Amino acid sequence: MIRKDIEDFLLKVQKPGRYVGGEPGSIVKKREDVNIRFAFCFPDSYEIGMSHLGIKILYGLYNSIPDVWCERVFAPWEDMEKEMRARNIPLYGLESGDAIKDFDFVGFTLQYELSYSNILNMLDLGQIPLLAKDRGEDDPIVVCGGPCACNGEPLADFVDIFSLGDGEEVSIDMFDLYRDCKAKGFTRRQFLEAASKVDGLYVPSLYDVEYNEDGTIKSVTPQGDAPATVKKRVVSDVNSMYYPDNFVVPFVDIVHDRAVEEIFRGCIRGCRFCQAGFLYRPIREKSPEVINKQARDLCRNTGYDEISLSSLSSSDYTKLPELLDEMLDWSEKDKVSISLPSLRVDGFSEELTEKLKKVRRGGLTFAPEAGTQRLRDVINKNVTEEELVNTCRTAFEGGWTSVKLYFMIGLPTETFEDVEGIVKMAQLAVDTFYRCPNKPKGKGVQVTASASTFVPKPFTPFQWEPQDTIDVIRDKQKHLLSCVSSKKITLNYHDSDTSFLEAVFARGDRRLGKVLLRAFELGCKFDGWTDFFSIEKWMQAFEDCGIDPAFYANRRRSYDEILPWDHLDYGVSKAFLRREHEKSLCAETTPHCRQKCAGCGANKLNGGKCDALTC
Amino acid sequence: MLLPVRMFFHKDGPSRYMSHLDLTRCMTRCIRRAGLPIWYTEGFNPHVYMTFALPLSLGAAGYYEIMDIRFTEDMPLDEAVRRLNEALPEGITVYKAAEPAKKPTAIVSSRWEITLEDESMSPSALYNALNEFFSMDEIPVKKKTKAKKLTTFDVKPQIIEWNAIACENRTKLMLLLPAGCINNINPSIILNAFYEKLGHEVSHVFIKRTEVLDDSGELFV
Repeated sequence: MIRKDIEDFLLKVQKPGRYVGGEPGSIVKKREDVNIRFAFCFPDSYEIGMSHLGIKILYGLYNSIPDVWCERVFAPWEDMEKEMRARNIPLYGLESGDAIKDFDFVGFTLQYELSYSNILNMLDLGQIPLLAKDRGEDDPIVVCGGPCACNGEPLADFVDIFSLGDGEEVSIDMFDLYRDCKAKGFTRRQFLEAASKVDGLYVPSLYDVEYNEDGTIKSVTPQGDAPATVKKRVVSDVNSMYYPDNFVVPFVDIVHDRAVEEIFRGCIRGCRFCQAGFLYRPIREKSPEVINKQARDLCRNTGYDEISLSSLSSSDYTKLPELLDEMLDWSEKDKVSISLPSLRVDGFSEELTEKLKKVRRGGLTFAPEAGTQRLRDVINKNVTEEELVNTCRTAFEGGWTSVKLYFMIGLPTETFEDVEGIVKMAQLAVDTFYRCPNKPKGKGVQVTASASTFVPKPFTPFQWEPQDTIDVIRDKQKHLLSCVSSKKITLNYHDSDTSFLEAVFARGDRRLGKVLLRAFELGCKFDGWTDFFSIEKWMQAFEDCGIDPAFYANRRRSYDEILPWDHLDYGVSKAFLRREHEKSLCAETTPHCRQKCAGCGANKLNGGKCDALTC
Repeated sequence: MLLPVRMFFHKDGPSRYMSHLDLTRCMTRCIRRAGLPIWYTEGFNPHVYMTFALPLSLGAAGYYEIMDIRFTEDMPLDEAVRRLNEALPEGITVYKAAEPAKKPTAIVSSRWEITLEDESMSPSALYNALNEFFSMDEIPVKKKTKAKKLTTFDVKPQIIEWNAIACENRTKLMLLLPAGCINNINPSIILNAFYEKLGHEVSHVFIKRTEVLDDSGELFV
């Protein structure tokens, strides 16, 4: 639905198709038929948000409930925002054109910390009070989910409810509760208090945080009968779990424009830096029949000619060969190509290349993460040089001529020797190409080594580790650059300022709320975009609030410190994470879950079940 | 067996904000959703064979849009149209499908209906301004060349027909302009010249392509 008041200037802004709705697959309901209106806000541009799988799942799920209407909202680009503010046009849902301040719920997905300033900006554009305590009976309930909800404390001032873990079932419970409370005439406060007792819902306003002299947390105390610890929600049966059979198909070009099918949740590898691998445990695989059916339905209903099989580590799906065989049965006929990202270095076989031959010859990406075996053992990324060589050879013999390798710098115990190892690995890949007897003729090879800055995250064994300071990172980046001599190797790395800010907010506490508000006032937005990010404005915000960001990013934490997320339970126990941390400091590895259960504890949130134990 | 099919459709509503490239992508997916027996090109990277007779600028509405595809099977055309319309997004509707009569190279001109409303000028004032503008001996307009340079030329001799109409609360400008592979005039370049002469842009402008004509002055089919 195009609002009349935006039509006049739509042609003045870039890519106006992002603001008009009406895309195939979008759901338009009659207002009078609906009891609950939900504005699903992705705190970034349309192109980024429309590529995200989570919003597609929940959009489909919420709209499948007859009296719920879920609409999509994305952060307007700078030129559009300027026009909207000048003309006092409030942020609206794409499907109806209605102002989101009149909705029942305004939801945000927390995918990365650098999107937080956009959340505040969208609330402001939506003309919704930024602070939760300022919201009245008629204001929407602001609810946030997604991976960063595992430590949403920096957003505690602005969020009414955090949804922890899988969203498929807890959302239904939340809507049921909402209807019930409305019928009983409950106040906003009463609804929030009732919500705090729903498994998986965390209401930050019902918890008081006290601090020690040294700035660490003294206590987190629940009010009334709010639970002392909030457990994340786990959907046990992923085969019967909701999955959409249709997606909204955009008009304009977006980042990932294809059908996506989730194949399993969780990860068996236990790489020590990886938050997602721990947050989504225990392992739950969908059956090949279910995946195949869902994938086929999705392709039929959307018209997409590419389907991506999504998971944290696709080569670990236990029935991958059977699944691919089932899919190739119809995909070739229907002219659908299958994309299989997230393959481990040691998971790329000739058998796989055979099956995926129809896929467009793009680049191949693998993530060794560290340049030396010692450091790979520290982070528990159990990949050897030999495996890298074999994988590259398989790729090159299969016709690929470009390979991208992901690394991190700033990992715990890292030395300059480890940093040099990154270039050595890239060179190894290049050498493998030239040693290949069956390599593609007449073409050179291009190896890209991408080195991002390590950010310690909550719920990982490295949650106690300090991040390298910006100066140390810059030195390491310079050193890395000086090691590259071959034209066949391209080196990429980000500016370390954004990684620093990420590190502050990832393990931040509630006191950062002031800083976020100040940063928003200073004009911070789209922090994930180099054109917008301003470290100067952020440092100004920290200074104005009297907060030292290094306290959060660069400080080594002690094992007995109360961490800002300790009152949230994601299944993986602190004792397990500590054991893993201690092992990492001696470069001792832990076998993956299917080789031997390491007792992380995540299965206790799933009635003791974990697919790694049974398959 | 390859059966050429020509589809005629409207493009309006939110679909006006789809660029030409977006439209190609959208149509490809909708045709697949509709299950039409569409022909794919052969070769290493097969794609749906689809051509559009004339592109339409972003923001303009089109009521005589033409798309050529090929079927590999003989599907009744009204069935194909019904299925495709079910799959198409808001604003795009196919209203006719038939075997192509002439090649797109036969296209010579297209008709435009432009609706103008301004906050600072009455419909009659706009009407007078339009008449004055089009009555000039020369109408210099600016056009970006392929090399992205701005050239100026006199468009007056190329305007086949023009007519301004004053309505109660809006003004209409009807134009018949060259279109097709030999010569193509986009009404926007004429409007931009009009704004320049006026000294300001018009607040609400709605551009609609209403017909496409061939070398004999008939509707292109």
